[in-house]
Amino acid sequence: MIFRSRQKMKDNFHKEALPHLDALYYAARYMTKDPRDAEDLVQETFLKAYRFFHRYTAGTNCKAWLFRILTNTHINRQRGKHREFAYIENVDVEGAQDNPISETSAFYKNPEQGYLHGLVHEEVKRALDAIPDDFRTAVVLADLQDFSYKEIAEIMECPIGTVMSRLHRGRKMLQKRLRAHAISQGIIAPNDGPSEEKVAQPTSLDDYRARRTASS
Amino acid sequence: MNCDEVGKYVDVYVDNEFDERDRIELESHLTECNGCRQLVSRERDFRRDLKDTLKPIAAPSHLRAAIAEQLSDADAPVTRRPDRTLRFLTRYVPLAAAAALALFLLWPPATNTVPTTALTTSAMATGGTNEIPPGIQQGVQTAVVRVGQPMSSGVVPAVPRTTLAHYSLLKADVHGGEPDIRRYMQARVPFKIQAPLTEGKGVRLAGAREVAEDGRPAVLFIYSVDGERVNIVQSAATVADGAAPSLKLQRRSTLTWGQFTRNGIRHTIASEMEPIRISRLLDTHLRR
Repeated sequence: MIFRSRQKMKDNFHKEALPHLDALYYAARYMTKDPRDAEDLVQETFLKAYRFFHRYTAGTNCKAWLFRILTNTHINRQRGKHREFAYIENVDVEGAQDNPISETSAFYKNPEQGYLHGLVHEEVKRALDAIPDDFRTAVVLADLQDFSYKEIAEIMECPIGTVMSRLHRGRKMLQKRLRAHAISQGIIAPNDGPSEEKVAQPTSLDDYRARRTASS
Repeated sequence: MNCDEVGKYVDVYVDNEFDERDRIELESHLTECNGCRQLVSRERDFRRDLKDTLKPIAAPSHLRAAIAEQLSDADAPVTRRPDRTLRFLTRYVPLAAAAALALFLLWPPATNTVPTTALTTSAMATGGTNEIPPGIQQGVQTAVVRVGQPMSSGVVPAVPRTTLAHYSLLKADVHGGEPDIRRYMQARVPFKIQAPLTEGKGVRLAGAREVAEDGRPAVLFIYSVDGERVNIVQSAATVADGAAPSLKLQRRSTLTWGQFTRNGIRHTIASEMEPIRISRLLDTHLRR
């Protein structure tokens, strides 16, 4: 994007990018395990986005573009996790105590439904934290942010087939953990609900369509 | 479509990624298959419950403010690569007076007994900070307050003053390539120095300066890391410093600092970068 002046670029950035701050933070909170990491991640994302805003093409999907930076930044940060130099927090950090999560969610309204009912936010968050990064990111992008497969493929820089399999496996891992947890908490009986379904994971519709074409 | 296929593509269907024809075929199977209907509704419930539980969280106001501030004083977006050094200098000129004061506090150490108020002007003169803009007096006072700020317990006593030096952004005595800087500095201090970080990937040695830390001769290495300043002071370690090669980084206000000893050299690092970025920097760039 070509800007005639720096000010114009700044204005545009405020208009196009900043409105996505909440969405980015929301995703970051579930992509990372720690609220502080989420804040650092979002802050780094915005700084990078600002520095490279000239590469953003006006009129295209700014939210997806920002999420791509977020995801890449997250991956890079994860790579440096095994550190010899630990960061020890010992000073007052503001914001650590904010807890916007209400535990009286729609969860309790339909107790006869899925096994997710009866589990609270922290338990679901823990289960999400436990699944591998790529799967967690795909699930966050699809199920919390409502991105399409195509958008996720662009954000995560991978083929759509990979998105489908990451989503499938990610959700299955999550379901398995939550189900096990629900059983251990006595929320459901071991033989309640669906059994472990063994289905092939989808990576594309091609084989189905090929069969359909052949049979019709 | 049969049950196996529904099982395989239920995700795609529930995610609304099916095209019209596939959708109609799957739904016609659903009308006659109770098992598949249940499967679809379980998958739908799961997504809905997940979203209900992991509710949207708004960005905290302090994050919003930090980003706004970051943008307002961020370097211009990189449209054409600006001169790094120039950016580096212009960005920190307003703090030059604080630098001068810090310089005075640190070097020479023996003069630390002079009353602070008397120091201000002479320190400014010593520092040769001609480009001090009006209103800088305030900056100096801020810096003085910082010195007197109580630090949390367990802090190495040396750190407050060092921190000030770092924070106040002393200018380099010497610029140039790493070997030249090292040669220049090696002639001035009695311990074996080595530039602490390797350069590359956004990390550049901007210069160095001869300083004193706790009355010991020391070298301040000034790095530019993705356009931000990182200061590392090296001095000969004493027994009291211990030999711990690991580092605890601490954050106070906007400043991150920490100290570690390696190969008999004490390193004090300080920067406005977030701790996590500094620890990553050390992991990737600390000279082994």
